[in-house]
Amino acid sequence: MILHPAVLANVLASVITTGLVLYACCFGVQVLLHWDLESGSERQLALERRTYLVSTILAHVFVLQVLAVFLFVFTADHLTPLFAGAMCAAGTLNVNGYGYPTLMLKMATCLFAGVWLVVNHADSRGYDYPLIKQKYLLLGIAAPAMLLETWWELEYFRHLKADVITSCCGCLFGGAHGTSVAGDLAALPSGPMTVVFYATMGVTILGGLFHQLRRRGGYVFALASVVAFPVALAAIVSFISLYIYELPTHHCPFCILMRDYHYVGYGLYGMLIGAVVAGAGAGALLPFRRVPSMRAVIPSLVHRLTLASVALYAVFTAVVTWAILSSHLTL
Amino acid sequence: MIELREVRKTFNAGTPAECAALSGVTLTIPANTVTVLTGPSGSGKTTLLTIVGCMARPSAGRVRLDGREITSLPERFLTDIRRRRFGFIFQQPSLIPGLTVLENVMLPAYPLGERRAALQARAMRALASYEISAKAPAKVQWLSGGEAQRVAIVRALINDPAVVIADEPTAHLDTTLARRFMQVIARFKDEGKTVLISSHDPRVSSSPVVDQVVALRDGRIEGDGPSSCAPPVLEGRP
Repeated sequence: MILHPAVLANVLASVITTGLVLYACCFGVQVLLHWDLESGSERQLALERRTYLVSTILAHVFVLQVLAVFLFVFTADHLTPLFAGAMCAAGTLNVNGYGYPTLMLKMATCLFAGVWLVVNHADSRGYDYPLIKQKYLLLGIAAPAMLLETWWELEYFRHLKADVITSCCGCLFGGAHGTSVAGDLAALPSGPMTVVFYATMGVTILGGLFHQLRRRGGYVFALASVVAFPVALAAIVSFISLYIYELPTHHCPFCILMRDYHYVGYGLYGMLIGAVVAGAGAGALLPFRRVPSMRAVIPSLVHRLTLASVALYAVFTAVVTWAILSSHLTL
Repeated sequence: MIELREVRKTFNAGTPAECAALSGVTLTIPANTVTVLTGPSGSGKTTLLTIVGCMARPSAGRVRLDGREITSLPERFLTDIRRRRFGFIFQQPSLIPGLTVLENVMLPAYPLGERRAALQARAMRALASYEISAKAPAKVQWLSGGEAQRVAIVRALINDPAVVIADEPTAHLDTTLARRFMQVIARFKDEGKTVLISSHDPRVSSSPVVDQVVALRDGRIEGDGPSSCAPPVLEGRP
């Protein structure tokens, strides 16, 4: 294991997050089994008091979880000079078999953490803990993934050997079609992918605006916002990166995180994560909009989340379009 | 109406100093009435007031205010209920030294966002109705005991609460001031407010304005059962 400060920060963040999530899960089991708001029993009142503590802890922990995905990529990028062959985070993550699976899990748990924060925020606005059971059920579903993520992350950092010769992003995201997922993404034809990208963004943004204006189609918008996320990621690999690098063969989604490209990747990925969390969060709240204590809360919250998701996707599309139009590359 | 159902409050639970301050109190306080909680020190009067006033949570049991259960409410809702529904008068006036009478009275209304000019006019009217508006610009540390008590009353009423809670309000008042205080309570009742007073002062419990006297002893309403607050068990040394 390389005892780099960034590595230690990642490990510490993951261990703390997982430890507190497991603690919250133990409490969640008690809530799922014994929660009864009609009861004035000592156990019920103790659960009501402790849920403040647990919710507050989780709210902070999940903010850390959202930030951890960026820290992980930043760390991988920062460790690049230690590995022969690595040019950016893409190479560092390829040093052993745990790098990319950990990143995928981190992305998934980051999105989950964002949606959980939205549900928790709505629950805290209700006078009768309306979403408390759903909140802890969600946590129970995600906890194994977070545990696995921490284990893989530890294994990844533990097996980082400086004598390993790894592949650069040019090989990983420039390989022939069918050799790897990264290669397949890079091999997507840029013309049709451009159409798919703009069509998806158009449908998502218009769907969001329609939902804002007519108060209908909320689930369709939520689904569209979730679908738009992987489409946007695929588009970055397929053609957006080419315009940013101004190189027709360089598809790496990590180099845009580097200083050479003004760290634009952090902004792009940040917007995408914010957009999908807001969209999915709005969709997650819709089934509960008729709960009496949520009637005054959820419509305005969903309204704000939809607006945030639409705005972030719109700004993302605008930035990407500007990058394409201002690029010296012509495909 | 305020309804308490099997309310219990235990301090230092699970320790040798565990003490049940309230042991299953069930009580109904009808709206627009004056209820006095009596009993010796340590009987649970103040604990009961703090639970009814949403300043403390019970260890078990429920409290309903106008049909709405309030003990389970998240803190943000309790804050709002305390601010809008309850007015508190404490044993000591508990005014903030360094501030003027007017500022002390206006303070509880600041979070509600009312325009300052309107709030100030309302506070001055309230002070005038208790004949203390002349002291509005004075610092509270220069007030006499009776004046400070009246300022505390006006402060408790600034948000027009439906329920007024007073904890031993006459403990430091002479007979004349205590009588005047009970006149104020009668006025509250005329205005449709519900009043809950804890006091072991017979001048309060025997007042004709009082509708209900609840005698507490050892955390229970007298006649409801045996005492429950055991003295702490001290572990002896060999």
